Amino acid sequence: MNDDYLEIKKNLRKYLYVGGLLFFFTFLTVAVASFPFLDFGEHGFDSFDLFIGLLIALVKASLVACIFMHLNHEKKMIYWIITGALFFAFCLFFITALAYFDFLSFNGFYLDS
Amino acid sequence: MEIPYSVKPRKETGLFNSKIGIWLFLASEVMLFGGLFSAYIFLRIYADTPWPERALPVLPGMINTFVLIASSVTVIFAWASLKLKKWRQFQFFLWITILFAFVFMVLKGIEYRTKFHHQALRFQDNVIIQGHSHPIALHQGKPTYSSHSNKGGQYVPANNLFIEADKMTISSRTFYTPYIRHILGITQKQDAQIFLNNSILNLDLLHQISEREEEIFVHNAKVRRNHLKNQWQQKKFNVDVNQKDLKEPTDLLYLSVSPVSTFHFAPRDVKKVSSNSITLQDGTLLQGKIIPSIMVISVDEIDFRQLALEAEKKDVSVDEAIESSWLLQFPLYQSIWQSHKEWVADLEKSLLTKKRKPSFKDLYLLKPAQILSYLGDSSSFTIKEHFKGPNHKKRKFPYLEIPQEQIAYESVLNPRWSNYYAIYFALTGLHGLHVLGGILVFMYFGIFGRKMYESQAEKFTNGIEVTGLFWHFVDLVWIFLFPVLYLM
Repeated sequence: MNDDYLEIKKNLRKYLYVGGLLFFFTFLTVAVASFPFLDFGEHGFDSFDLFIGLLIALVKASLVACIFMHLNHEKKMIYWIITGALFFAFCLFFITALAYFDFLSFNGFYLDS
Repeated sequence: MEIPYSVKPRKETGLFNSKIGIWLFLASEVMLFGGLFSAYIFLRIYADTPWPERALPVLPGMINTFVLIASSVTVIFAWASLKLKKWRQFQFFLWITILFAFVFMVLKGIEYRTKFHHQALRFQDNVIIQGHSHPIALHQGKPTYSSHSNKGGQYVPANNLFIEADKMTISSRTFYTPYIRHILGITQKQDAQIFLNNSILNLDLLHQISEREEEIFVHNAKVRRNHLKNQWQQKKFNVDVNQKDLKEPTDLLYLSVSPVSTFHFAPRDVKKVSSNSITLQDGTLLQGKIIPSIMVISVDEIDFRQLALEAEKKDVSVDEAIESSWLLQFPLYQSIWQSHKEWVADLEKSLLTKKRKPSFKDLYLLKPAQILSYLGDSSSFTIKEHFKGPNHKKRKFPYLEIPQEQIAYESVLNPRWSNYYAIYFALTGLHGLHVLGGILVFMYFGIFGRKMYESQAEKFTNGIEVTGLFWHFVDLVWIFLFPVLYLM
């Protein structure tokens, strides 16, 4: 992190812009979920809406992580720590999402006569 | 002892230790919330009931998102102020951050409270309704809807099992004290007494009997143990224990209630019900006359989706299944359903031009605004209603008196009601605890920070940076929680 006095003063404006962008993306998420003319794919909530909603959330999360948490210019050690955590978290999501292809059906303990 | 590398970076990593510490902690937090998000995915994929999309109020959720984003900006400004050696500016931004955090918690509290006071109910035929539950009172021993015109009586919880009992049996060894306290409380309110032979039953007497029974049990066990020991020593195995040495236990206490009183119990406390008795989970038996109970709800949401799914499974016409449901035997609900069908037909027409169809939710879920508009109230919700749900005092939602035999399951909107609410409260509750943790640390720095700053300015600035990182992470988790729980 650059501790230079002028650099910090300059960054303050950047933080405000990023805050504004995060506000805008929040509005956008609600708009996409609420206004019919922004409803893509099938009518109502569907996988396309899920994709758009998560994509916007991902952009917002990246802004917070890169600018507010200074991950855009951090030491190597931090990247290793965070990459490891994200790798295992995504493995967890992936394994859980596999349940979609392995749907268990339970028809009770007794067979129909 | 001074903690090393708390100010200057360590040579090997280029970082001060607390920064590595917080990132390791945040990595573990990623896994913690990752696990809960995975649970959410799993529950949603495997849900055997329609998932309650958009069940939470969007406006407070959106405001909370803005509040957290704003607090993320102010916390970074607080850190930058310290770097610029502006103490007063730092204090200002820190306390603004704390204020935002409190606003977040208050809004969350309102949201939780609204859910905890909102009633949901599933009928035996799988129709689900939500609304405001009204109090029930005992009028001459009968559970009755206590409306404004019919006040008085003794208030009792709705959907309880009622019995007009004159006899009772309690096990002196297994009785559960809260049940007995509840029973004694009811008799006291109705100026009745419970008699054990000629003595009046109270908790002290019951505990005395219980202790005596325990002594008899210990005595008899000792006699039997000594008898077995003697048998082995004397090698005489076919001699029975002398019954005169044993004390007679009186496990079951047969009681009478005078005058006859009406008792009520929550379904979860009841083990068995017959035509003339109720057995509680601890074995306490009340005998007399069962009185049918009711629930009264002003209905603000009707969900036919579960019924539709069951009908599709059985290859039965969904419309027929809905029209023959218990709810639709009432003309008012029939007219609501007819209005909804007309609304769906109009929607179908308008969507046809875009080659789209109404969703399953459009077809079978009637939201509060829709029910009101079908009943002629088309006014939009006030800001307060967006936060606290529809105003049941002002708006005329239809009332429904539901006999107990029609109720399959009922609960307020808490984790008991559905998997959705269980994971919602788990995720947002854990997130709320993080916000609370952040508030405490920020307040500590706000109140005691001056001294720390004056003695070790750089160390203090690093502390704020590290706490700020935690705070941004809390914001980051909410960025995903908001769309996933409130919008999808």
